[in-house]
Amino acid sequence: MRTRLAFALAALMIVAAAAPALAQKFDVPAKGMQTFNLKDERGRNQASFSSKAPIEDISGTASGLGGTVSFDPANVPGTIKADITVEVASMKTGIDMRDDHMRGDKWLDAAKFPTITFTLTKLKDAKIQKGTELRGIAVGTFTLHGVPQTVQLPVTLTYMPASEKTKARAAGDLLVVRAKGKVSLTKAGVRSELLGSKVSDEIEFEFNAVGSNAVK
Amino acid sequence: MRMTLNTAQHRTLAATAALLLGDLALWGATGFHLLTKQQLPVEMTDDLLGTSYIVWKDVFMVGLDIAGPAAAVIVTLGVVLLRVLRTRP
Repeated sequence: MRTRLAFALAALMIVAAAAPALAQKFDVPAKGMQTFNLKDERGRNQASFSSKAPIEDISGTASGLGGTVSFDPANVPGTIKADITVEVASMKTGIDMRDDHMRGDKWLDAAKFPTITFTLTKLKDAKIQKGTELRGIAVGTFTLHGVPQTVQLPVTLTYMPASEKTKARAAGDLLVVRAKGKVSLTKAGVRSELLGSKVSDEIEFEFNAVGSNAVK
Repeated sequence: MRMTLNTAQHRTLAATAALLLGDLALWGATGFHLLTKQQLPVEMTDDLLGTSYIVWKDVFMVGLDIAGPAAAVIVTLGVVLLRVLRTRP
């Protein structure tokens, strides 16, 4: 009898310990839908990108980031919505001539397609750790050069409730969004004889941004 | 046919070689880049948020797009001067 009771207690303790890990909610005071605006006047919210090609490796950043991430902290995967935009004009690689070519009509054609967008369609394999950090796979539509591609991006969302420390960065609760992935230039309809030699077809990118629910 | 150079041509040749070496040294000292770099990325971190971001620092690192044409101009001028300064019979 005692042995069974001990087993039952142990099982209960294991389930209790595992419950927060299985929970799909942030352990934060905020209630209801929260919308985090990724607008950042200081330009610290950035997407970085890199191309590894036989002739040349290129890396750069884009700081013209915008968009929102919304969710109910009590049910993040079921309620999350995200629309993120990056201004092509804000992309730079440290070489003015190359930047002009990159934004030109033979490459990303900033005049015709001024933004690169990502729209989340679902969040899968979401796991929340320590009550405030969510890791999962963001499935969505990545539109580059006006051509939509379905992508799956490993994503990490870190919820930081407002505190004295976070006030130094921005008002309200903060959400740190990190994601990375790859996108094909050929699939995006970019045609250039330099693709494959000077610029790789597959561009790797990382997204690093902080949003606030107090910024409208 | 053996060509003998006069003093002015010797000086021209030496100056051309020195300028060419200087051009090569300048290109090499900044990293033998294909294109001239105007900015370099410097990674910064925000310890509170655990994020990193890039700040672009202004630089001028000569690339082959400048060093190459400069070398071509130096060689052309050198050849023209050697021809002009030759001793006429």
